Amino acid sequence: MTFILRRLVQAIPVIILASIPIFLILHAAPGDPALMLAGEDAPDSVVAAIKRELRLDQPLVIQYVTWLGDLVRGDMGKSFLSGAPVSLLISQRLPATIELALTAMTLSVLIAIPLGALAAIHRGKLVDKLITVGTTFGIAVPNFWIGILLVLLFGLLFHLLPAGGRVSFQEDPFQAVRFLILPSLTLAIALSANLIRFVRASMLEVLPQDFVRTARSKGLRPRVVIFRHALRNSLIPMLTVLGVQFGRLLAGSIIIESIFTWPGIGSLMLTAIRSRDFPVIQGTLALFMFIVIFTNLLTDMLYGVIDPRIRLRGK
Amino acid sequence: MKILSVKTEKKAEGTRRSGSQRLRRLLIRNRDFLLPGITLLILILVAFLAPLLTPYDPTKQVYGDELLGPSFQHWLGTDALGRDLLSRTLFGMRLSLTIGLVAATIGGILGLSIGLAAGYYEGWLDDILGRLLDTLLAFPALIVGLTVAVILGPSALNAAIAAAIINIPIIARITRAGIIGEKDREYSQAAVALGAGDGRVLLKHLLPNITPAILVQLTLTIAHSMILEAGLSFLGLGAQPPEPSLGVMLQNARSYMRDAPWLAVVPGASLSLLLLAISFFADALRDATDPRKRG
Repeated sequence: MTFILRRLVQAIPVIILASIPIFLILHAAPGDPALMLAGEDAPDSVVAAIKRELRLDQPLVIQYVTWLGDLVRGDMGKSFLSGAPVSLLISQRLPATIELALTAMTLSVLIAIPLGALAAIHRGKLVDKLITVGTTFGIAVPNFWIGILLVLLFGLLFHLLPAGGRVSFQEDPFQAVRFLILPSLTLAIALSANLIRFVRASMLEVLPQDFVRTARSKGLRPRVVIFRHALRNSLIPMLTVLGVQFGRLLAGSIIIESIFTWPGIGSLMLTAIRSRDFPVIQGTLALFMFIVIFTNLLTDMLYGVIDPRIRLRGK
Repeated sequence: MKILSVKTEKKAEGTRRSGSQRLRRLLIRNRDFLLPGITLLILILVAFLAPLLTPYDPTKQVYGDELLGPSFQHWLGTDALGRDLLSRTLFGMRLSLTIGLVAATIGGILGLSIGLAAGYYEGWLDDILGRLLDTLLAFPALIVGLTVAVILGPSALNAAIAAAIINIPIIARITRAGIIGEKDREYSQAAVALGAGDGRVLLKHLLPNITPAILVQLTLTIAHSMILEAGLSFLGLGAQPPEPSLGVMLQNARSYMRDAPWLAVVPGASLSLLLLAISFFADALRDATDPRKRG
């Protein structure tokens, strides 16, 4: 319990550190936001009123503290463009992004476990070498190019799957899956390449251990030894890798959403950046920040629960 | 005492030379280097000699030459504004590599300095730097890149700055870990006992021993920086048109995927080839310098 509390307290300075650049976006970016909102020809009184409303007339530290306080309570201000609350805009787009990220994550686990195990079992042989070279491709080749190639092949050339857009599951589950396949697969490739390497490495660590040898010498079939004994034990640490990779997956979704015109947080953020809609930029960046810090924290705690050595270290 | 220090210096120089000779021998002997090394060398040469190799200006628009297929005049065809695709791709590779090298150099120097200081002195300095770096490291590159693009404005230079910022904690962490592992070893303590100052111990004794690990990581950061630049440019937040950036070219190609798919294939394939060559090269470098794999 004290371990969890300690990690929570440690997260506070991280949140403060990470939130400062997000807060400063409004001030550091070129141009006066109040003037931008009011229009170039607006009278000084209108600009001053907007400044007061946005609290731009107060000292920077006060502005930051109020901004962070509002943020923690879920108040991210209003969009410069539409006037709608940023939290509302985000809540409308969040389901699409979560759907994409979770599907990609599930896909990558489904790809990585069998391939990683296969490579480990056939260590040094052709299968292993092919899979290892494949993972280098998956990690090195930029995923947005893979996405474009998939659109080109399956969307435009063979007309098998839609090239972009989204249909929600409530509307039409069959179409929803068809629209989901290409973007989630694109997003899953890099992650699964990383996971394959991880599964392979941890399987190689587990395979020579005593309990595996015992299982073998008991006369269990190789399949049972691999799946029920070796694989299961090598998968526990994978949970933590998934936690750390989740943030990266979300960041990757920004580009993928743009390729597949997926109406999620990423496309909301990009539209906001292009139109200099600062509250929306700050809100979406802060959301990413919270998710990254939260999943890292969760991963740390999970690791502590699994491995007591981590929990007791530094006591 | 004076004689002793002269002797140790000579000895140190001797081992250093043999160390670099050993590295060179490893590079030549290890055949895993051959394919990625030669590919990378050719790609780098082709990219940096682009102005000499291509007869076309990569930004010059020619009316009437739009979306031409591959031909004798234009080996890879032309884009929607009549610009030669091969020229643009080569110049794009040059920009990509330049940004990768600049970001790796700046991030490398800063990361190395921070890592050396944090690892050697530890204590409160290490605590503060460690917390700062961990925070930075937790954030996906693209998020940092987008934040920098919003604050500083979209440009190729700012993409390089963003990539450099991301490289700092990566290099710093590996340097710090290396220094902590090495500084209590006998040769380091012997240097301290002989009166060598902090700077001398760090740069002449400890650094050469952790150089291989840092080199591998630096090679990879070049690739990561190139991916970030391409990604930001693809989103319109990096290099700006008409600058020939592979990311910009990929974005432009999306409007003509049906009629001119090669516009999307060529820049992506050249970027991927570069990244793969760097990646395999880094793998070979790691295997050659890792004592566990050297056998």
